[in-house]
Amino acid sequence: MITELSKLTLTSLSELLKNREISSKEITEECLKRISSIEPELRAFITVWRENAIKNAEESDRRRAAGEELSVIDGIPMSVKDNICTAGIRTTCASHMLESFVPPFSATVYKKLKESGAIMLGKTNLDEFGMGNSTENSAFFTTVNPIDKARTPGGSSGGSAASVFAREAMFSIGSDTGGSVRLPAAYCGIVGLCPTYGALSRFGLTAFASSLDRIGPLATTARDIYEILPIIYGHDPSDAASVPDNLRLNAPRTPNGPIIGIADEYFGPGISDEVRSCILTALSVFENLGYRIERISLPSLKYALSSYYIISSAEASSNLSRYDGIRFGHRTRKTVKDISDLYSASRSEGFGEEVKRRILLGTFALSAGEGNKYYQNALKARALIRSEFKSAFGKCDIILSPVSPGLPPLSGKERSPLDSYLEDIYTVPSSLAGLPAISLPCGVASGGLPVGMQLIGNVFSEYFLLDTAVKFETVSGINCFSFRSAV
Amino acid sequence: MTEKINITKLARLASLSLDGCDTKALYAQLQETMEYASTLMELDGSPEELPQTVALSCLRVDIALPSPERSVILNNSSFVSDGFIAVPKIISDDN
Repeated sequence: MITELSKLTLTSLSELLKNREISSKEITEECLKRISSIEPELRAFITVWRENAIKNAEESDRRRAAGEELSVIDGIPMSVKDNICTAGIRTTCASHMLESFVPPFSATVYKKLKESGAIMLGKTNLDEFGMGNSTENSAFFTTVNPIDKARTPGGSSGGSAASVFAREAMFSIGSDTGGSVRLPAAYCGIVGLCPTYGALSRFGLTAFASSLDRIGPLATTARDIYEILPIIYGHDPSDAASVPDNLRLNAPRTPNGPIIGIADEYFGPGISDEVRSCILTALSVFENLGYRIERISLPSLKYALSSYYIISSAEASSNLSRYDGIRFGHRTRKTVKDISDLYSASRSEGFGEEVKRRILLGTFALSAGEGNKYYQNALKARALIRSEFKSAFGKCDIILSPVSPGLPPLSGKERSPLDSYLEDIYTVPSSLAGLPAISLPCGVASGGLPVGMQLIGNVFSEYFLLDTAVKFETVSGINCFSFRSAV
Repeated sequence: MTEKINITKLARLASLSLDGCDTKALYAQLQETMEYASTLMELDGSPEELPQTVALSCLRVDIALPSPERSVILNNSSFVSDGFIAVPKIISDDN
């Protein structure tokens, strides 16, 4: 059968399904076989939904045989990050706090994908509640990078990215608060899109930092994301931040474009030579494609990482206060003296170290005194960053940057929390500004490791970003197939 | 960073118990992060920026929808008794 699964994309599989050269059941069985054989090593999944996957694939094949008009993802297996609610399927957020939580409802995005016939294979690993960039903060286990098993797959959607690169699933749905789709996509040599804030419903996404949280797809190519996006795009009244469809106005392009903006602030100290060199080569590909390159300036980006960690931790400390061990989630078995003790014992047992650290940081930022000054200044910095991006998009149509300053780091390496936060330095600015950004591979570094680039667009320019990304992957020939699988 | 972080107070505010935590290490990590973030203090005293919200009505129409089955809801609580979620006594017998 499909021994060549590793050479196929969602788009090519969809074509094979359409031409009846393959069935959804065959693809699904192949993915499940792959999961059985490599999961002990890769550890991308927290839950695999084996039986139901085959049943749903058979139903897709029946729909096709009956001649029904089907979506491009009908019959295609997918994975879903385990912080996105799936009715009847355990949703743990990779936390002991929610280890046995089975949501009674589904996230809107998941519902839309299911209704379009995608085959759910299971829930993927992440850093607990999305807080981290390596999956090493998962309460259960660490996912390895499928390109180099000694390295991290990035995070927090590391399980999603690893499952797609390793072809356990043909695409995945992750979430991105400060780079959690883009960074693992870059480290695993695939493509990840973080859409405009409010473009995709977050209903059913477990809240981490509500003013930053977004859902985004991960797939082997930008062409595949192009197929997935329309299915999950659109207004949802159940998400108060979801933008009504009639207000999703495309910002005007520059008259003599397309112009790519380059800001020095994205190439600061700490960037590796290999990353810089791959980005510059990518830039020359765009020049050959007829894009003009313009230097831009975003001086307030120096505040971005601090602003992001203060705001996101403050929001997390508030959002995670709902976990008290009463109605759902972990409750201590210890004998407690009163209800306050019950809360604090349950929360301390349920949350991992990084989550506690961020709750404490956020509590500090929201306290009266010095902490609150940080929070107020973080909000000011965020407003400055937004306004600088707005001005920049008067001069260019896309901003090109690295996704991270370095290559995927080695797993288990002792790093301070701050050192780990610094990996997010290039992804958090567009998160703070609510702008869409796509991460795609742009080069192969030493050891066959992937280097990712980030294309940031103006609000609601997702399809323009995808057009640009498709052009790049077509002309440069760099995509997930440029990297050798280690699993 | 002039004010020292008081971990015990923060933990109390956040309903977290620090039993078994290396509070010294935790303090150092938080302090390091706040030192890094101290560049934000350059913005202290700068004028207030415009709010980042957009004036849109985000309220949905108030329509009652069916709730999930009681059993589905109760399944997610670890302590259930006679169809209710059980909690420790909040008011003691002495009160």
